[in-house]
Amino acid sequence: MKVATNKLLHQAITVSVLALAVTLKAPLTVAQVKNYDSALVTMRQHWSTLETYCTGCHNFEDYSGGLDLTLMTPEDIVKHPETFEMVLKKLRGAVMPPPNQNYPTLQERWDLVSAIENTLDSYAAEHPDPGRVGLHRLNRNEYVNAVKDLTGVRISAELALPKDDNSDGFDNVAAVLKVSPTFIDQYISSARLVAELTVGSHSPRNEETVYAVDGSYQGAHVDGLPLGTRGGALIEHQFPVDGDYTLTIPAMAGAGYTLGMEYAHEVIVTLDGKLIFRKSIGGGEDLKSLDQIQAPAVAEINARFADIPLQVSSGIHKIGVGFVARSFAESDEFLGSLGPNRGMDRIAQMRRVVIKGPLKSNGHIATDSRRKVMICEPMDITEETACARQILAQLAKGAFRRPITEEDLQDPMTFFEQGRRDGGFDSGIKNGLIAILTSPKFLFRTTLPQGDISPGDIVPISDIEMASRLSFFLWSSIPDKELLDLGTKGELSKPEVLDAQIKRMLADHRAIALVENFFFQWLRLRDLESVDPDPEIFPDYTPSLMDAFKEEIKLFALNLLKDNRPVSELLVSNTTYLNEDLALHYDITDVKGDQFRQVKLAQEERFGLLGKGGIQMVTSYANRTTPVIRGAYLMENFMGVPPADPPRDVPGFPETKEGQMVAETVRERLERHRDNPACAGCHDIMDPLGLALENFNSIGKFRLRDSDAGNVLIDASGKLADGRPLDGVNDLRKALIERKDQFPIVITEKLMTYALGRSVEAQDMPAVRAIVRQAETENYTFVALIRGVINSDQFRLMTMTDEKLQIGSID
Amino acid sequence: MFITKKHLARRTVLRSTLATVSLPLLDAMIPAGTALAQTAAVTPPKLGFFYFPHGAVMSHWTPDKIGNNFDLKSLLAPLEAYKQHMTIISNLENKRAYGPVHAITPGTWLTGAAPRVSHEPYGGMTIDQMAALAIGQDTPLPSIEVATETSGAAGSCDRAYGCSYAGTISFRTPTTPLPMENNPRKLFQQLFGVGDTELERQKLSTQTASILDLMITEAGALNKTLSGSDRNVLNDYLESVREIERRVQKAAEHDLGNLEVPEAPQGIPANFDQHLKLLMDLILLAFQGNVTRIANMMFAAEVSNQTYNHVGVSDAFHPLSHHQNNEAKMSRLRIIQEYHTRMFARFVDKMASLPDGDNGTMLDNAMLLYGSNMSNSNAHDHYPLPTAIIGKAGGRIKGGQHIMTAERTPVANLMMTLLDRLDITPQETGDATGLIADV
Repeated sequence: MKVATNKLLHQAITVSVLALAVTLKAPLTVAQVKNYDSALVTMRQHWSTLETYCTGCHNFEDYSGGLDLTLMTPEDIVKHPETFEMVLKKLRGAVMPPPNQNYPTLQERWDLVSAIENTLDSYAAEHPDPGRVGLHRLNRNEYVNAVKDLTGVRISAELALPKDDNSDGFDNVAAVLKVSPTFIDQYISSARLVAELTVGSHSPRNEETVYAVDGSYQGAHVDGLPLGTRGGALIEHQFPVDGDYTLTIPAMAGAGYTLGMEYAHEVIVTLDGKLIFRKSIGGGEDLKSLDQIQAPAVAEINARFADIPLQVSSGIHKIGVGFVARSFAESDEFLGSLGPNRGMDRIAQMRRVVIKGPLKSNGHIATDSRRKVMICEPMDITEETACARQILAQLAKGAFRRPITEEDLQDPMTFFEQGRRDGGFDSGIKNGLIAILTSPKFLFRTTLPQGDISPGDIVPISDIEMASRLSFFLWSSIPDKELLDLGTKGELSKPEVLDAQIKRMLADHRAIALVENFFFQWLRLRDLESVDPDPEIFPDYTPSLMDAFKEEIKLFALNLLKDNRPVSELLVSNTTYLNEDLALHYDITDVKGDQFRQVKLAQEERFGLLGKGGIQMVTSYANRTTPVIRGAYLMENFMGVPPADPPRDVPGFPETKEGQMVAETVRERLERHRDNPACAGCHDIMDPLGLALENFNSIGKFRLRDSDAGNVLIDASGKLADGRPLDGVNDLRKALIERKDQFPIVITEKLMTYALGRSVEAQDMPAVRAIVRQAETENYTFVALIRGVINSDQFRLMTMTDEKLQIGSID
Repeated sequence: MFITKKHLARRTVLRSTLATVSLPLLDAMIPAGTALAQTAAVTPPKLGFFYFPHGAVMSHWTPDKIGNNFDLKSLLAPLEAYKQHMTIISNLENKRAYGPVHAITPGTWLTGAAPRVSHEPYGGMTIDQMAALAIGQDTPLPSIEVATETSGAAGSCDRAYGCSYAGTISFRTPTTPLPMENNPRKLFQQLFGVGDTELERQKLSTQTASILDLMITEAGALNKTLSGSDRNVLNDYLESVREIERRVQKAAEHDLGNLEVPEAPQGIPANFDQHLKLLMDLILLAFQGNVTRIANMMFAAEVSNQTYNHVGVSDAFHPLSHHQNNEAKMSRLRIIQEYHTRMFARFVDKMASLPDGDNGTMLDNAMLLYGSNMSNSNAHDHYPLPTAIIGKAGGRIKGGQHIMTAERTPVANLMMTLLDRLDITPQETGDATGLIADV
């Protein structure tokens, strides 16, 4: 392999060597990386452990799992890194040998693990391969964040672009971020929308914007609305220009059914927190007229909530709509939210809010986004071109994430001139912005080799590209000015500069993207919506509980990050974040009010992620728990050893027989299914893990008895794959953190996938382990792992793999 | 159904209180019997590919009798009125769908090609897209892709194959899966554009044309600096840009005739039933306005956990589909499957009431494939597949029969037969071994 003689590369390699030197001194759990030859010597000493415990099945005849170890020698390890990385995963996750076999002693197991790891890692150190990420399309979250950082305009990802495919659990993997015509179509319409919202219009069209109000449950208080209200919504609306607008809450009353109209409810409207409207709906008179005169009464009631005047300045304002919460003590209605409609048919609800306007305007625009983008103002027509150039140059630099050239500005300026001819300066700027936002230079991230290189060469990515890698990793967005300037000046290769930037970026509010995109996808929390608990079984469940689950985990992860805590606290921390509703759900009664606050948990079962309702719910079906899914989830996300896919022709999980008076417990049903030896191989490992969580029902309520199965006491006991007993979530948690470096390795592998936007392959695993070894000195804090990923060769270098290379620069 | 030329003015509808109650009002607003955009004597047929996930309870799908005098079981009974338009084909198998349990089932339905084992999508071009190349180029949109949900639960992704084959039934090229749209508002804008007035639409279309030019030149410049695999990504991008360019041109020339375009829907209705109906009404509207001739539709996502409370089934769809041959569960599963057929029949009803130029009704000149790429959901097998065609494609398909093919006939044989009836030469034939002569 030819290595490019490049100053930067030299530096990068020196850094890794230094990093190694540091780790050598550190007291490590797993023995040190040596040179390959001496690692091989140790490996030969432990090879007999494989022969003793593994070749009983992994031999030529049985060929279990498609693996024959009998013909292999220690020298084969580096020839089949995929195979031996899998062996490591199985050994580290303690799922091999399978249950009811001979187990190696702990000493034997971990000696073998470190011998194999040392063999692979020392070989990798001598034969580095940082891999390469191909042309990388911005996914829709990144697009929306980039637009926001560039212009201050917030658009909805869901409405702006089609859903991105995902791979390896993440939606930012370059290889599957494909483009189809629908994307092009929506890139163009999004660019138009952003341009319109950014620049605004002095005489915008009188337009209607409709906001849907979540109709699923309007009995609860909505965060951000005044205390003492229920239902409704808090809307952040961008008003294009100073002027008169109207707000309408349509169709609260309907003919025919008078449900929800029995009692009087007060409707309120707030503008930036101030009450501007309050009128009553329902109750005696309304009910009577609806019943007796029908259609005219419907019209009269709805007219009450139509065209409510709003006088506002341009920019974003917060509009609140809701009902004054009231007691139902005077009626005979259920006080609680029993039944499938959760009492919703008895209270007035709103479905939509329509904001219309401007009806009248003085033409003045002073929105934040306009101020941010229009950095100059032409005094007369002769200054327009120069000013436009200034504005568009700044936008293009941010959007293309690098210093721009004359050529970069050519197209935006041509667009500007076209637009100006049709509709003046503003219209020209809009046009120019559209040209920037639809350019592939904005839509695709590239890492282009510089200088004379050939396939197989390992070269560093440029400092400018490093700025983008950092910002997309930590912020899911484009670099800001400071980061880009440092990249442009070539400062990011200086370790102390890089370190300071990582610190700054993690402290920035944009780092929430790491929680919402990395954590939430790793933990699959985006799938919570699809669970939709059965209202017959869980009458207390409301979507606001799901929102609370998400908020809890968001705050939990965010604080772990901000306080620079060890990642093991994700599993063991007794601190969490609750509001009153969620606290009650967790049987904690001394938390009052809607605000989330830090709470110290007393009940050990609730410690860490395993005790959080969101995790329990996302691993359940709508009507019952699923130990199988929970077990597989634990193996995949917390143990780093994803179970094999089920063979086909396997019947699903046996449900309770219809007509059977007392249902079986989930455990009883599972045991029937594990009678089948074809299933038992995996399920003997997976199911006990899931069953350990059986004290949490589908919506994360703690329970001692199973109300679905004749209220029997829940048995959460079982055995780990290596035969050690396990009883309930507390034992499970202890097992997961027993090996200090195990959970950090699992999370680092996920983190690296997300950071690079590509699958982590066998050749990347030595880097993952190096990061974890290095992080031990910092007690495996989350920040140490992030820093490790950023400093890894996989992040900073690339292997030129392509058959054909054409050298040139982007300009 | 009464056919009158009267239709509700849009304003009337908006003012009425009814408008707020249910979204699927589109049919009321479409003037009955509206002629399609003026067409030549023989227009190409309308093609629909209607996919339901998780197979069917086959004992309630396959007729006992073969030939013209066939009987209808409960899963097809809602289509009783259209027996003469119906071709049921039994004994088909899709060998290419075996492997990961659900993850490649939708994406291999309309193609006989085996997907590559890779997260990066590489499947077969699907027959709807082969048809789109042949008969979809003179309409603004070659095809539309519609679904009620964009992704199913875990299990719709596979460790070896990724998620690309579960989210769609349509591949434009082997490497370009077409995303399915589930938001009626976005679908509407795809069909009818975003401008409010004719003048504005014209202006926007001129602007779009120059944006597309720009995208092409800039991508060209970028392309020079890229290496092999990156260039493929950019080529997909360029091809997509050119496709949009073509569509914009077509849309500018396109005459919607006297089709009354209703107000754009606001978003996704909370109620599944309304959501499904609204999407199907939009497909019909697209057919009526000749905005496209080809529609792909998924009733629910593969591995969907959708509940069907509106027909009294509160179980999540996918777990229920693992019925263990339990009678009660199978009957609840059948309620879901019969509901899908009823929704499909509602669509067919409307097609039968609309004329298609001089070709009789739109149904006469349609070819709607209704089926799944899974058979018994409890066994996850792909034989025998539930497969029916409604419509005679303007006489190119006989209709009115139940064909029992040889055991395990590749479903690709049917796909190739459908293309053959449309005089389309397939780009690839997958594992097809021949045509089904009787169709």
